[in-house]
Amino acid sequence: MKYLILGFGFALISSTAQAQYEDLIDLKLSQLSQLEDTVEATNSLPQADSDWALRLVSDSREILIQASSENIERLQAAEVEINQTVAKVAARLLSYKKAKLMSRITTLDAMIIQYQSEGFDTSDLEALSQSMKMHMEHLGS
Amino acid sequence: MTLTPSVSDQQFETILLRLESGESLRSVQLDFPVLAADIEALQDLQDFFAAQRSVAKPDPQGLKSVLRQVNLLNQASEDDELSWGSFFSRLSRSTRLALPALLVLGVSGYVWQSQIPASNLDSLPKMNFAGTNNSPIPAMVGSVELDQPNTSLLEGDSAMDMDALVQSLSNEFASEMADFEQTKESLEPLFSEQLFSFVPNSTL
Repeated sequence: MKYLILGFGFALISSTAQAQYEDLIDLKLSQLSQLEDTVEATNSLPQADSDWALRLVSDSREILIQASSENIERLQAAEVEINQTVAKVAARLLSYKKAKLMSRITTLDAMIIQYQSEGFDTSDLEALSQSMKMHMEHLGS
Repeated sequence: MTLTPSVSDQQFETILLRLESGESLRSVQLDFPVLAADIEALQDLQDFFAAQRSVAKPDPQGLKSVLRQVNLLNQASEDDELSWGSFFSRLSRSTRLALPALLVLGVSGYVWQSQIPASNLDSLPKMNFAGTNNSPIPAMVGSVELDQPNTSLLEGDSAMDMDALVQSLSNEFASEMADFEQTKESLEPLFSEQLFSFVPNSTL
C-alpha cells in the first residue's frame, strides 16, 4: 500500500511537470511567432535580413518541437540554442531601427550645414539635432 | 508757268471750283488760255488730294509731289509784274496750297509718332513721377522701400518654414524612437527569459 501511494504520487508529479513543460513549450512557440510578426512588420528592412531572420525563427520552431518530443534535457538545451537565435534576430532588428534613427540625425546635420551656407537661421535645427543625439546616447547606455 | 496780273482771286476761285467739280482740264484751259500751265498744275494737285483722300496712309511720294507743286506755284515768273492783283493772287494760291500740305505733314508726323516704341513713351511718366517725388534719387529710394517689405516677407516665410521643418523632423524622430522602444520592450523577454531553467554544461 505504501509503495502504491508513492507510485501514485510520483506519477502525479510527473504528469504535472509534463503539463507545465507543455505550457512552457506553447509559450515559447508563441514568443517565436511574436518575433516572426515583428520581423515581418519592420518596414523597409532589407529583404535579405528579413529572409535570414524568418529562416532562423522557423528553424528555432522546428528545434523546439523536436526537442519537446524527447526528454527534458534535450528541451532545455534547445531552449538555450533558441534563445541565442532569438537574441541575434532581436539585435538585428533593433540595430536596424537604431541605424534609421542615426541616419535621421546625420541627414539633419547635413541639412543644417546646407542651410547655414544659404544664410538661414538654423538654431532650432541645431537644438533639435542635439536633442536627438542625447536620446541616442540614452539608448546606447 | 506764268501768272499774269490779270488773274484775280475770283478767277482763281472759279478755276479751282471748276476743277473740283470734275470739269475737264481742257475745258477750263480754253476759258483761261493764259493760265493753261497753272491750271494744269492745279489739276495735278486736285488729282493728288483726291488720291490722298482715298487711301488710309499718306504717301511720302505724294507729299514730295505736293511740295514740288507748291514750289512750282510759288515760283515767280521772271516777267511777273509786281501788282496788288498778283500779290493777292499769290497769297491766295499759297494759302490754299500750303494748308493742305501742312495738313499732310501733320498727319505724317502723327503717324510717325504713333510708331515710336511704347517703352520709350513709358519713360515719360516715370520721369514725371520722379520729379514729383522731390527725392534726389527717386529710383534708388523707391527700390529700397520696395525691397524692404519683400525681404521681411521672405524672412517671415523662411521662419515659418523652418518652424514647420523642425516640428516635422521632431515628430518623425519621436515616432521612430517610440517604435524602437516598443520593439525593444517586446523583444527583451524573448531572449532573456530562461523558461526551462537549464544551464548547459560542457558534458552535454
